[in-house]
Amino acid sequence: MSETSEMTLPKPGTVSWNQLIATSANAAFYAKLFDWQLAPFVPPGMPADTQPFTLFKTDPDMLGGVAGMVQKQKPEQPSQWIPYIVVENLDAALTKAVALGATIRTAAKSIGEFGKIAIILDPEGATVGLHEFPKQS
Amino acid sequence: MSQTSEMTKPKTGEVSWNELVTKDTKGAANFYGKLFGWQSAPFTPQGTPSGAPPYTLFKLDPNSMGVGGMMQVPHPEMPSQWIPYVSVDDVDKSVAQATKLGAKTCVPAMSIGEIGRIAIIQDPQGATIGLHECPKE
Repeated sequence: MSETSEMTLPKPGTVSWNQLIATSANAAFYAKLFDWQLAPFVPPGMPADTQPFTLFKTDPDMLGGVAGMVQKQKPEQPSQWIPYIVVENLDAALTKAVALGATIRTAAKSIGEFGKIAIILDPEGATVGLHEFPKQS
Repeated sequence: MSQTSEMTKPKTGEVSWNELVTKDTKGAANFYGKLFGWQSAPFTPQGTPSGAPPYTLFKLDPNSMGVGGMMQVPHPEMPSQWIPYVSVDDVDKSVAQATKLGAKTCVPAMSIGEIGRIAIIQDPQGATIGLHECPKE
């Protein structure tokens, strides 16, 4: 999910990705407003029946995208943008976040070759994602 | 408002910045500082109109622009949340186009001095997103 073709991994503490949670009707809004092209994508290493998410691209040939969109799981779920921040150890970061007053919204889960993610609510209720890249061998 | 210390100008259609708007800037500085190692630094871009709300940069490296920013929620009824900014060529045009496509304006186009111009909108499903126009060279 890196934004560059060099696949330099973003450093811990930086934003790795911005993800919109919405329905597909909303993707058309962004396509028109920002001239983004939409491409379905399943991260390598995910189960075959994984519902693809949508990559937003400024250029059809770009590897990855500038941001992405996942479908809402329930219609009453609000649409929102979520930034993901890189952490070295997701479980340790979640434990720390909870000790600091955060709530876990989505527990740690695999995103295939891109590592693991979780989503938390900060003490004021702002939604933020945590992203641990796979360890490089 | 690039995410790198090199201040590379973001390309049109790319996410140029991530910003936390919160009801508790002091609490958030503590939370994100402890969770991600971010240092908080007050920031007033040169040429910012007087009366602009105080702004904080979140930095990993004290000599960089930072990984994101923070300010008080612009309206009391706005929930605490993270907002991505997308780079556009002309904020006024983009706001007009977004409105035509069904978006609402949260913060009308305004100058942020040497950093350019911004606006904050709500997409047709209610997700909040910023628009950022870099200053013309």
